[in-house]
Amino acid sequence: MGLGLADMGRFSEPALYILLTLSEGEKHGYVMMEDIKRSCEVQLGPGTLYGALARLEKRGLIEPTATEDRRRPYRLTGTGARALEEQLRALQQLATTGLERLATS
Amino acid sequence: MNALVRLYPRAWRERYGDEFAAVLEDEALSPFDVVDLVLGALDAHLHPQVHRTETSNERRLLMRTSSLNRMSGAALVLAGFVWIVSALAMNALSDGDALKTFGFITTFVAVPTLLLVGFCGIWLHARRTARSSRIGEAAYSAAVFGSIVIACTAFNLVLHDSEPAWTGFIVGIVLFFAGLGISAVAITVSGTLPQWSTLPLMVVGSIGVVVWIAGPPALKLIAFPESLFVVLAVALGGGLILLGSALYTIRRDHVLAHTIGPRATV
Repeated sequence: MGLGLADMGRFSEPALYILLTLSEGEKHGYVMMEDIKRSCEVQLGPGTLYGALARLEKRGLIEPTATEDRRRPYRLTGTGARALEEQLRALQQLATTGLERLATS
Repeated sequence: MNALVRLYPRAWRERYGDEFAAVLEDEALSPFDVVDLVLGALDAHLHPQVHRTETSNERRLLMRTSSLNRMSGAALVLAGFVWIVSALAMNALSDGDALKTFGFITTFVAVPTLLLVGFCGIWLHARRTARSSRIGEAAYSAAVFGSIVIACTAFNLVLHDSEPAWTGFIVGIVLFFAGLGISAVAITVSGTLPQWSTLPLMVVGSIGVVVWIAGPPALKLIAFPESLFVVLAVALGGGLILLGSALYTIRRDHVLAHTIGPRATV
């Protein structure tokens, strides 16, 4: 995985989904889960969601925003946006290479 | 719902607990979610992402608490060692041996002093962590007072081997064992120290009281097999060592959680 996601083990993929959903704007936990289910067709459990959230926050890729509510929203940081971009470009490169090889075989 | 959140470590709950509980309220939990949550809690314990931090005031308080706990814990450990060595040595030495008399006197001066320091430490720790109770305080006092009575009557016994001296000695011992046993129960019930550290003293305290009360009074106590007293004394010393070790190694977050209140940072 790319910048900041490489050492997250089983949380690498959920972390990518979280970065992806937050690229649209700030969201709190439940809205993230719903958006990931709708847009990525992946059902994240609450334990996995918060395991990935804590790792992303610790690495400075996301940050909580001020709120009076218990439902605390998160947003991407500059580092988080770069990490997401790097990750998506790597996936794009992977997809391109794979498709080229399939076409020539 | 709260029970599931409580599976997570304290520092994690302090940071994410509220918002996590809000997500769980919004989501209709499936069996998959429950398993996921349990695995998430396990991960949070194994790979903590959130750690407690302390302010300088908190650090100062912790250092003071830590020093006091260590000093009183060490006193209890030392009391345990003195007790064991003394019990074994007195069993090996013959009556009338000057070394035995010296050991006897040293033990009964050293042990009450060390117990006084040790139990003062436990009492202060219990007060600081809001776990002090009247029963506990009475039991600590009984144990220390019992040891002082034993010391005083032991001196009397060295000078005059008489029935009243033995009676005083036995009263002191019963008070001592009862005090230790009840102290161990009070410490466990209040959660002042972990259960593993008090269990031996509960057992030894109960047996000690039964043995010394049920036995023939005063001078006739000699009819008891001496090995029983040695085993009891060694077990008692071991119990004091365990209790002292628990106090010496008490975790910083245990003290923090009960003295300052929750704080956590990612």
